[in-house]
Amino acid sequence: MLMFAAFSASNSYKLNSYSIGSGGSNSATSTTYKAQANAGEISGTSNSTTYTEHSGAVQTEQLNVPLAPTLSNGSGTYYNELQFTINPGILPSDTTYAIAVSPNNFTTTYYVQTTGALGGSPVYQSYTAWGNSSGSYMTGLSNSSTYEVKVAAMEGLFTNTEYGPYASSTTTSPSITFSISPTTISLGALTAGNIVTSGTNITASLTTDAESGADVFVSGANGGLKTASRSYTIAGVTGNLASLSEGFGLQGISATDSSGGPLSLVSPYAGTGNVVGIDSTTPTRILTTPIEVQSGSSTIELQAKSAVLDPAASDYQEVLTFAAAAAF
Amino acid sequence: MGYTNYMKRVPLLLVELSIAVIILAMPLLMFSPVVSAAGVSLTTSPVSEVISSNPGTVATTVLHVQNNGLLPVPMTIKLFAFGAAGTTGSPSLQPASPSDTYFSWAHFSPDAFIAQPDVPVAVTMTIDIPKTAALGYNYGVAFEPIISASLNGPGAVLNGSNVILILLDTTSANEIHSAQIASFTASKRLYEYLPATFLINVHNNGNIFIAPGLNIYISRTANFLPGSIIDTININSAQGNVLPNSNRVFQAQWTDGFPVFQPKLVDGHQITKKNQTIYQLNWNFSKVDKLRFGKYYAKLIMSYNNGKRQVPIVAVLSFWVVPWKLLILILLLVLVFIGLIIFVVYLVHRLRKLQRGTSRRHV
Repeated sequence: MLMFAAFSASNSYKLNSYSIGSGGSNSATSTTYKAQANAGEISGTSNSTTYTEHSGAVQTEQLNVPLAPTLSNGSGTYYNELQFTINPGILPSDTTYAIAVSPNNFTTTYYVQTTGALGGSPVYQSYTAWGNSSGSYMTGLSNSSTYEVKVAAMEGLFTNTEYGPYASSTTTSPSITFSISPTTISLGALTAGNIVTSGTNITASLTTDAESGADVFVSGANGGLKTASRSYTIAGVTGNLASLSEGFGLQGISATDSSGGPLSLVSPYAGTGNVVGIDSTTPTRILTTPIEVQSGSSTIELQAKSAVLDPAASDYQEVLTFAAAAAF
Repeated sequence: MGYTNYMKRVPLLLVELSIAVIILAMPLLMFSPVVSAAGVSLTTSPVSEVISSNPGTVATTVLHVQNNGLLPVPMTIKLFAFGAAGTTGSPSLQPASPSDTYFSWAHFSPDAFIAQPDVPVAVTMTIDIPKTAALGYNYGVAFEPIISASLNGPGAVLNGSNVILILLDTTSANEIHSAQIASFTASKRLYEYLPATFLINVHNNGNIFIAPGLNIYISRTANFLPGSIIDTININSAQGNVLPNSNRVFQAQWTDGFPVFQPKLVDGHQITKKNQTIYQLNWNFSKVDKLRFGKYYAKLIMSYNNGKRQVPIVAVLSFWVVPWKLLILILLLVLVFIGLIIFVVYLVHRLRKLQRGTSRRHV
């Protein structure tokens, strides 16, 4: 018997093909999953390096695969985080998204959690919850590392897509910017028994994105004011020059910042009046910030007092080196 | 040419020679490296680096330095030894001593250079690790301008340098990777509002530095079952190290609440009083669903690599968040409201009583 078969068609749609699979139990549920059974071809999935093809009705219910997200490393300023913005394209407004992240082309895959930290399981949230067009941040990343990021979408049951194409961005390496000015400070004439204060203040500026903060150290080449012509040194001291016969030291006047920190003066340099901190040949901490700091700035002055028996000389000088170092 | 003619030409030759010298020296005069009287400014990166390499090998890393000033700066590189200063991760920089023989293993290319303004310079640090090396070595690599400033009278010449900390792990066989949670505490037992501040004191009881992984999970229940965790705080994402035989206190804050205390800013600057940051309440009503109230539990999971596998260590604490001022205010409002109701009821009762009395008199 000869049979002629024709596929269903209308003015708008045409069924090109169909097949019957082994069937299944529709809408089986557990606390975690709900199954939608589908009659499909046993060998209905094919793969290549570029495409994965699935047969069956479930695929037709899926959303479009999301576009690659937009990534930012803050113009080269983020070293342990990246900003990502989902590109929803034409996906419906009630779509939820999961973000997959990898430092090695998805050999290892992590997922952004609601907190921004990376975890082992995907978390689906709305476009709004992921920060809308302003985006959101994934945190806890390694510095100087390239991360690939891709997005999957879901809208209700059985619509979960594959992950879309990925975008990549590289975290930077944390840095320290440190300035000291001016290059010379004049104390004027040292008169015995009088405390002399530098007319000009030292300005130390510090900006760093080091997570555990940074310190500024000060050290002197001579450990005090030294006269080469008379081979004598007014030693660096910690204490109140008003009650000491002689000495040389530094006093922090102020420390400010615009964010992070706070940048603060460290004892014994945070004194007032004539209380000074030592000028030592060993680097001594004068400023500190426990976390990253922006536009940190400190004003520091020098104070000196000579004794009656100190040799008279006009070349009492010191070379002070301020060094900035982050935490290890 | 006779001697007389030659002598006539000598002044002319001298003039020509002087002009030639000036022309030749012009580039040097124009680009002579000096430090501006305004001071020095450098940017260096990274801030610290861990290098792991076996004894008998050569390890390299690239360090970057940039002169932010307006003039070229001649630079030199100095080395410091360092250990832990306190428990914050701050280094205690020490000048090189004769016992620091490992300094001779380190070489830099270039080791002296002129840093042009706004031009990053990549400096390769090479460490020739001898076969006899064992455990860890610390280098503080200081990039320092060469200052040529001078003073006429008493005073000081100022210089600034940036130090990059290098921790060398020679991955020797006798390394012991071991750490403990010395303490895990909250700064208070009772918070009015977030943030809640946690202090994690990690002790390295091994003989090589360790960068512990630290995560705090916040829950309303002590069993921390899946689904009960409200928030996760990742700490030490920058992989800060704990040096051998030392403690390091890591600080973390749980800030995801409503309202929360945040540093007070005036003209974009944080305000401090006696070196303490001043905080003010931030009412972000988009987070009104995150009003924290009641008892919370924080579980710390510290993990470190002991050379063979990741070792997890767990510690748990509890704390309270009670917005007591807000509660007192609400209680007062409720009491006032109840008082008003009682007063109104009393008035109505009195009114009816008066009305009843008036009616009886009319009867």
